[in-house]
Amino acid sequence: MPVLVAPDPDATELIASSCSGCGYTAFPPLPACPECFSGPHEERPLTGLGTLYSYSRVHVGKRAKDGPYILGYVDTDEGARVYATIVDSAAVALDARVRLTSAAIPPTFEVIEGST
Amino acid sequence: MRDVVISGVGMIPFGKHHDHSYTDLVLPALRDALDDAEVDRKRIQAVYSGSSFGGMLHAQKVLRSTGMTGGPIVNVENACSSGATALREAWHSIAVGTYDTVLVIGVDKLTQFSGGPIPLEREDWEASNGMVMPAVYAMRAARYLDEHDLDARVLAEVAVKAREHGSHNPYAQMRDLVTVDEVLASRPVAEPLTLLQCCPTGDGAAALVLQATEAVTTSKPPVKILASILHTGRFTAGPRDMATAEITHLSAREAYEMAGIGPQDIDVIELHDAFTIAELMYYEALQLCPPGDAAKLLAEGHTKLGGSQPVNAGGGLLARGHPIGATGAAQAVEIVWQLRGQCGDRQVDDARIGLTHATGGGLSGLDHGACTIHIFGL
Repeated sequence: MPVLVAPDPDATELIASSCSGCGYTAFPPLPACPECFSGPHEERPLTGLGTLYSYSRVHVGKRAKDGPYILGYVDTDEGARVYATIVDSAAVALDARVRLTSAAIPPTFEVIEGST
Repeated sequence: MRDVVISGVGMIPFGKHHDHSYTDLVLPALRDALDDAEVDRKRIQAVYSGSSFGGMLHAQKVLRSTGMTGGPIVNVENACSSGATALREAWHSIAVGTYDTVLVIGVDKLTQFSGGPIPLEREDWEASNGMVMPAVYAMRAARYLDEHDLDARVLAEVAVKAREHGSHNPYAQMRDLVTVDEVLASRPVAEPLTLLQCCPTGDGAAALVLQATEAVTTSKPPVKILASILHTGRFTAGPRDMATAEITHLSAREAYEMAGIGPQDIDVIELHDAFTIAELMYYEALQLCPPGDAAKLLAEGHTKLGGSQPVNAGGGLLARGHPIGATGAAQAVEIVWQLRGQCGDRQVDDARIGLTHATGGGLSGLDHGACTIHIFGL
């Protein structure tokens, strides 16, 4: 199976793609730009900061064998929506500010305490 | 474009048919549809068959013993819209004059898997990293409930209605009544969705004979296809509003325009309630009510049997079941029966115009993989 993003266990930041034609930013990186269909794309490291758009504590699927886990969408400050695991805590809430804690696949974010 | 009518339909009861092959599932529905249309199998000029998990050449596989292979057979895969997309392709082939009499099949067998969420596309970024369809709908639900200041009880009310309607449908997989408390107390799947808010795992098949008006030989009332619309999801790598159903809204608008009617003219609706939250969002996308009023519409009884626009009188995906590729075809069969007045205890009075809506498919960055809306009239 093709690997879309190289699995680097030591990665500390997310590398998005930024379209050289129009700047469209995406994570994981895209092979073509949906806006202007140009390329090639440049690498754009993300700050790892964003806002939790929505989430769910999931009890099914292969990953649930070790117990429920939280999946969510993080809207990064750079404008890309990132599919992520969210560290479970009482602070998890819609629109909470979050920060990247692991750039493994899929990336993990945690809520920045006091942000909601 | 020529007028296209549905002249015959057939469907098997949906459920866990462990001992049945794809062929076993399809043949009874196929025979019923041909008999209903009073069409000999040799008059079928082309076959359009929708399935997501039937494998390579699924339609040739199920038809090889019927003597119906040899002509054009088109296998259609469009996730939850597979059967509905097959219907659309069949409609189009007659509307433009290529054929006069064609067959539509929708079939899938989910008991071939071990249960739980359906397998998604392996090359997809999210699916390959743990995303499951209940989680997608759960995230929609979280956002929708928050934006409209609602609690999870309104979701449970959708499941209660589906089971109530399904209890009158001998083709439905889930026919036992449930209460709001039972729905909320069932095991969590993807919060806030509980098990009884998710469509069941099951098997099913449905078939329809479509004909040009001048080719029809049966004296049964022909059901005309007034609109057929297909959209696919638009990709974005950025934010998208998950509390509104983008391509359903767009498809509905175009379907009403094509049929020359408005949402208020629809008498009976079969929409894609794969999970409870979906039904509420689709009331709004189909313009049955303004944004945020779906729970009120349900509570008022507007969409229940006996209400002015019953939704999923056959139980919908939550109660009839949702064998992925079968659903779009099954919805159309149900509407044909409704318009002909053949639905017994679940019959909608004076139903003259019906709508079907099949949408779904989990793919990163898309609202849905595909969305199909059909409008039918006597």
